[in-house]
Amino acid sequence: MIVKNVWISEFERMFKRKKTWVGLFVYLFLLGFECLFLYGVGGQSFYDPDHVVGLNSLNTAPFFLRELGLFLIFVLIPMFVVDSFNGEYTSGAYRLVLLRPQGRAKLFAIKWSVQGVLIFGLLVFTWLAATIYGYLVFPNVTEVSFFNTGELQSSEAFLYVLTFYAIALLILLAILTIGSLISTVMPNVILSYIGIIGFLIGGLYVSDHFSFFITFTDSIFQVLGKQNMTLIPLAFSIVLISAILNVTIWTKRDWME
Amino acid sequence: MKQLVQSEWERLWKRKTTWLLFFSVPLVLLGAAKYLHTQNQALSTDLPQYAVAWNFPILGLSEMLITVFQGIILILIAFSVTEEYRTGQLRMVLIRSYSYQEILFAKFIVTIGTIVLFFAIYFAVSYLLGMIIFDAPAKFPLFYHQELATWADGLLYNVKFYGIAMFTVLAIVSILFFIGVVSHTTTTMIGTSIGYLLFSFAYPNVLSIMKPLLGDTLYMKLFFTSIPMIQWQGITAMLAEHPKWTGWIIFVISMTIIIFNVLTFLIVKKKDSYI
Repeated sequence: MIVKNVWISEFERMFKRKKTWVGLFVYLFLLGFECLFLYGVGGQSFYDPDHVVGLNSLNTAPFFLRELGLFLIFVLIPMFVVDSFNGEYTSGAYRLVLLRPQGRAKLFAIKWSVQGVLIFGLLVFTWLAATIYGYLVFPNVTEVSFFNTGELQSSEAFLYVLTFYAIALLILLAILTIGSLISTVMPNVILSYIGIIGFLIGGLYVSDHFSFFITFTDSIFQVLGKQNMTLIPLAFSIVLISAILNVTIWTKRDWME
Repeated sequence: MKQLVQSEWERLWKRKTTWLLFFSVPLVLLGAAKYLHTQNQALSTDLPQYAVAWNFPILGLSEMLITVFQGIILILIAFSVTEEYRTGQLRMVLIRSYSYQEILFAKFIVTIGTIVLFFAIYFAVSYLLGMIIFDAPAKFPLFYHQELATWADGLLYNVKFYGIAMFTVLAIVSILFFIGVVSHTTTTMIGTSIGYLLFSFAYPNVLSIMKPLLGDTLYMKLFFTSIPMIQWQGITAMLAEHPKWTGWIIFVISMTIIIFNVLTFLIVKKKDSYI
């Protein structure tokens, strides 16, 4: 019961911020723009810069994330995460939540899940909108093939798209979790935000395996085309390691500052 | 005014972040050098992309200009414009008989000064690193030049390149100052700025699909309305043997600087100084 109340409080606080609303409206606007864009370019998109693909009623949904993903990864998620994990702490607003005798780890889990649910909701909404849009606007087909897959029947294609969105969710959750860790460690909002962006881009210089934050959909197509075996384990370990580290810091830190 | 600039300058250098940014120069350049070194293996030595000591200062800059430099400007402005105003630190300065416009102008000068200093250090360190890591041939090719260049030609070219790069940065600073003044929180400021940068990368690519419709000249003009695209390709085009788009690029940058500074000025005029 208590957990539920704290969860609702966290959720309400998130939507109390004007920027959450503005961010979501901008996302909706971009979603509409993406529809116009895909129509304007004649129903074409890319698996990667070398592979063009014609859109149809079965394969449209993944390509929506090709452009929208950039906004999610570099603007929306960092903004929400930094405000929730750093802004509330550095401004002192979070002390009012800490007054009650709640386990620190529990509070962390609640914050994480509120953000996670929002991301999940956004993806579900995008998937729905994109699927419907694909049916209405692009040529109807019964069979389709994706990057490096054979011909798929409509039910198989449906499953493929769902798996695609599940992997996208995993990557976004990895960004959420590492972002929450960076926000906990950094002393203020500006450095947390820059730290997250630095991690997302800086990973490229460490190893090519970390490029999936930037090449988002291209990498997911590779995973599903069995050409990229490292993405899923890597994203999972980012979630796990940063969550464990973060919980450790959360429970040990001095909240009285 | 002089004292105001001095006070801004001192406050800027009091932050650990500013020092951290400056100490990151060698690291950033090492990253760039590592990247270019692996690139070299796949390139023939007669290509201008092939990194040697004499062109490392520009090869190491062109990639970092649109990422690291933009990030640094973002951090500086987020701290000095948005955070100081929104957290009320600026009250201490506003208690004196300065107007908010004057303070903002001082901030502008100090930000530009810091970035020029940053460019200078980057230039010096990149020459030093270039000599250590890469070969120093007698002659090497430049972008869009027929003749091979000596190290002295290269030096002149690099200085010009850095000069134009600083000019483009002036436009970015103007835009980010505007965003910094209108944003109510620092997260909004950074989010909007990054959104603006992403947009500047995205729309020229979208336009490339409509290239046959627009025609080459109009397409290139629209392409070079995006400041990051000027930084990415415009500077080398301007410094080619037969310079291209020079007038247009200077026009775009000047207009950006004028428009955004006028907008900032108008907004600041209406702003409440009793924060």
